[in-house]
Amino acid sequence: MAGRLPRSLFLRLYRRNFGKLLFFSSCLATGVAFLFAVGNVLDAVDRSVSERSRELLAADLEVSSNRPFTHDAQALFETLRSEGSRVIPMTSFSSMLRPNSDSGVPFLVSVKAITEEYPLYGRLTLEPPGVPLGISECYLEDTAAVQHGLTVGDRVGLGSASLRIAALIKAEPDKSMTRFSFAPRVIITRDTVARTGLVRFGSRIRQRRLIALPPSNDPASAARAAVKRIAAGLASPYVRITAFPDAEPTISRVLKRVTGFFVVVALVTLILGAIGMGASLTLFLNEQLPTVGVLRCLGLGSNAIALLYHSLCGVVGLQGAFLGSVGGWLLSGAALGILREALGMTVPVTLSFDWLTMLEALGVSAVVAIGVPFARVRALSGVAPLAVMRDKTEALPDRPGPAVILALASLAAIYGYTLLKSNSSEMARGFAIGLVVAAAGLAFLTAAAVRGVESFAKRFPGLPFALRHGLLIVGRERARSRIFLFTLSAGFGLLGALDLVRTSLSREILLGKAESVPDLFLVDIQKPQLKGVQSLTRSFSGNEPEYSPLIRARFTHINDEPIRRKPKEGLTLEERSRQRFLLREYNLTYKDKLNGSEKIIAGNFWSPGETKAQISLEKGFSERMQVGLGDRLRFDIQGRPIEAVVTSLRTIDWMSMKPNFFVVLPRAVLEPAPQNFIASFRLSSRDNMPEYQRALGRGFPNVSVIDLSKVLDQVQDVLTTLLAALKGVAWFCVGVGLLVLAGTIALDRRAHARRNALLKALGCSARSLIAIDTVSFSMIGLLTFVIGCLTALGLGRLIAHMLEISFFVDAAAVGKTLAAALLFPTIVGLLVNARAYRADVLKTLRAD
Amino acid sequence: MILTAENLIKEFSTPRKVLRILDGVSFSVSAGESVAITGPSGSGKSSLLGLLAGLDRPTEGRVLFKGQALADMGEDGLSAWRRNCVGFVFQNFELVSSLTALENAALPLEILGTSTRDAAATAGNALETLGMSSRADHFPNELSGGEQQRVAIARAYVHQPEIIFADEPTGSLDEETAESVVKALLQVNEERKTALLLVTHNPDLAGRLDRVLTIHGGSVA
Repeated sequence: MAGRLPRSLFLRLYRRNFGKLLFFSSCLATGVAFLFAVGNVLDAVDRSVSERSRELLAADLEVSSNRPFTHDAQALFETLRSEGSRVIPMTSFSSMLRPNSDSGVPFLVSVKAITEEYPLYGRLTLEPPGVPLGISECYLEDTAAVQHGLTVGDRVGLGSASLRIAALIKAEPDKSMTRFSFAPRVIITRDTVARTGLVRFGSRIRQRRLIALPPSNDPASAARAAVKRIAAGLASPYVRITAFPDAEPTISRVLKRVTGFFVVVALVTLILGAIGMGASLTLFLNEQLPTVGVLRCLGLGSNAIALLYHSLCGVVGLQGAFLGSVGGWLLSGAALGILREALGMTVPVTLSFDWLTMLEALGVSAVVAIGVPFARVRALSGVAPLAVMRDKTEALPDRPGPAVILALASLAAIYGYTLLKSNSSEMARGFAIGLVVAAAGLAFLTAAAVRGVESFAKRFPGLPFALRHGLLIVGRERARSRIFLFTLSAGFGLLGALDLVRTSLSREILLGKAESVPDLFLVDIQKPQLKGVQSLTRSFSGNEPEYSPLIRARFTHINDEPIRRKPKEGLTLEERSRQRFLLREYNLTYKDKLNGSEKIIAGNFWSPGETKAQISLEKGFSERMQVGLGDRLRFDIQGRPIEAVVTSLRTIDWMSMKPNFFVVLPRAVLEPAPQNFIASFRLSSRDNMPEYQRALGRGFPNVSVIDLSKVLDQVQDVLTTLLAALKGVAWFCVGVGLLVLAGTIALDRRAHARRNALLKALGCSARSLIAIDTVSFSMIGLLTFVIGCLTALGLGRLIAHMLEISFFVDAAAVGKTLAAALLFPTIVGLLVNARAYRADVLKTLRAD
Repeated sequence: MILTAENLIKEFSTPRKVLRILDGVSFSVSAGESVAITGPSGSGKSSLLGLLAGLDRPTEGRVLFKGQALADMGEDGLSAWRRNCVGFVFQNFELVSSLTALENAALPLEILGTSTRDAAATAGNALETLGMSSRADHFPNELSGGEQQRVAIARAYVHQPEIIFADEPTGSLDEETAESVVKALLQVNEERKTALLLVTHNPDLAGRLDRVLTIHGGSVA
């Protein structure tokens, strides 16, 4: 019998403790339920965001090239069509548009030639609405119409064609923030292109194909897979293929972080469940000491006892998996309903019961339920029976061996699971190490805090009775206090960290929202016009816009090594791509001061007035160019060579919407070069827009206004959806955490009632008992608050680093969560023990 | 009379029927008197002790302490009565595990509002009287059963109550240890003239007290 599981004993223990075991399971189930639900909810959010993201590209993917598509490419498009995709052609180029009035000044436009099927997703908003586009007609961007005094019905000249303005463009689905052209839009039909006479040998025409793939459960993955397939099929460095999830860097960047955050939230919920279950099981195992003492005296071996309690833990895991899966399924339904309502989702999202997820839940539950209390079960099975029978063991002794094994196993499990969920080894490594370090820190801090409280109570014997005894309960009942403190601090620390990361992420998202970024750009301001444009714009905008000089240049040498075009034969695709990157023309700028969206990460930025030729490069650009600090680059600026040394590397927050440049030089070095300017700003009121544009058109007809407000609105829509989802998911996690932690406090009810009954028999009034409990739970709350704050700050910084989010401590937001930590133990403690204050003393003392 | 029980009836409702545990118990205890309550297991001895100590309420009848009915005292009044006039000794000692022997013994004084220093001094004397001064700084799980019970006795009389209720105080102890505990209780009873009401089913122990009340079938035999 020494090593075998005594089945009847197991069943009796299970039946006797059914309620408790069910509670342990439900702690775990909350975490499992969230894992189960998060899949469905993430899928819904992803679809909703995908639907909106597709509108920003007007397609699932876009294939574009400055060269005509080859026969192979055409054949590939035909294959896609035959497989159910919709493929529409589009052509774009720049040209001058001539108003037909006498006073009209020609201006640069970006022409897009479309077919009737355009757009594949989203809507082209016109004024008047729904006007069809005929041959020899065009749509003109409304801002350009205002600026140049044009209206519907006017005629304009484009190349050799005379076009009638059929409608004004109010919003265009695929006008990306990052890929906008420096000119207002004109849309014509593809049949009209030939009449303009602009497409001929030597013309710079961009050929595009917009593709809508057949319906799929995972449109983002389908689009990315199609990109890979087309890229492999075309094998050309001249073709650019973009999938909709990657079309808008602002959204894809945020989406990547939000998805990472959801993975962290799912793991945190599971860990909270595991902590709750672990703490409850520890208290339960402590209670089992007398039973184990009797069993050991009756001859049951320590292996059999270990097997008995491991089996009970296993059952807790199985129950947790079952309850979690069912709960998660129900939760998904409720959460989807709320999300659909709150986020205005239009995508039909079906609730699915995935057996694979069920198996995953089963595996996770079993590992957590057996793994977390492993060390405690080993300690319980190894305890000396005589010591138990003589009541010499207050709580289970700590055994370092199993605890170390458990810590290592937890490390491996958390690493593996995070890797599985996030697909990022860096994130998995960081999260696993961070949690283990946090757990070790917590164990140390809780032990030190409990000892500190005891010393304090002993050092000040003159404290009032309730205060002294409340403190002594915390300081002397070490096992209980440490379990409470560890659980609560870990729980609130994780919730606080989550809150810090959520507010940091929200702040980053808010920085990209329309209220705080420029939405108007002025392009092609000539140097002599600068003062006049500045003065006019200042009077409308109310503040000074940011003006950036633009200087066109090509790289000619890297460290005296000339950059030469090599024959493309014999070059790999990557080499051809790099050759194009090195040979293309770039916009440089000069300045002596960084704007708020730039940060130096290596080297030093020069001081104002610097005359020595030096360069600051954007980090990604330097990596692609394979140059670093100290390298010398030579440019050709309209025939004049300039050589400069790389003295700093920068990162740029592209979400700031400020004009930013890969290559920056000092003002004194580039100021004499031929240049024009670009400006970004917001008007003090959108109502002034027509008047401003008319004034600009009168004074500076060559200057184009690019209005990105509608694009920003679209992006803002998507970001708002994400923010709402973030908040919802984080609050759900807080709710689960609080329930689990409340359950842990409630588990101590019996021991608590016994102590209160005794004090009552000795003459303590209910008021005194409440005062003692208030002190002891408040002290737990205070320590939870302090340790929770440290944990939240440490873990929050780590998670933010892993998700590449700028860490921001929103004291007010995280203060609310941690203030709850301060009050929570007292409120829950007094509530769950309320009956003990009026309980029958004799009955309580006689109860086992 | 310090304590009077008048026609005490105690009933418990079960799903099947109403159980009458005590059926019209009446008796009195004088100041400084020691009374043993004996009877077979389940006869209602401990239930009677609970009623007399104001830890439970009778279904009918009343308990009077120096002529005042406990039922009229209210919850706060009963607490005040217990902390001023009553001491308890339980079969399972019921020491607070997080307090040392000295702190356990001083607990009633601290509840009464005595300063910690004075309470510790008085409790120290009480432990010394019972031969426990060397174990004053030990926690309950570091003491033997007999030692724990002697600490419980010190706790029961440290605040000089008028009556001590002892529920099977030797029930968990071996013969030798039980004898030392009984001696300690009787010493307190004799030296301090504290009334002692002791529940036991040990006839020898009962015989050493001033009077024996035997409960049988819920009534005084």
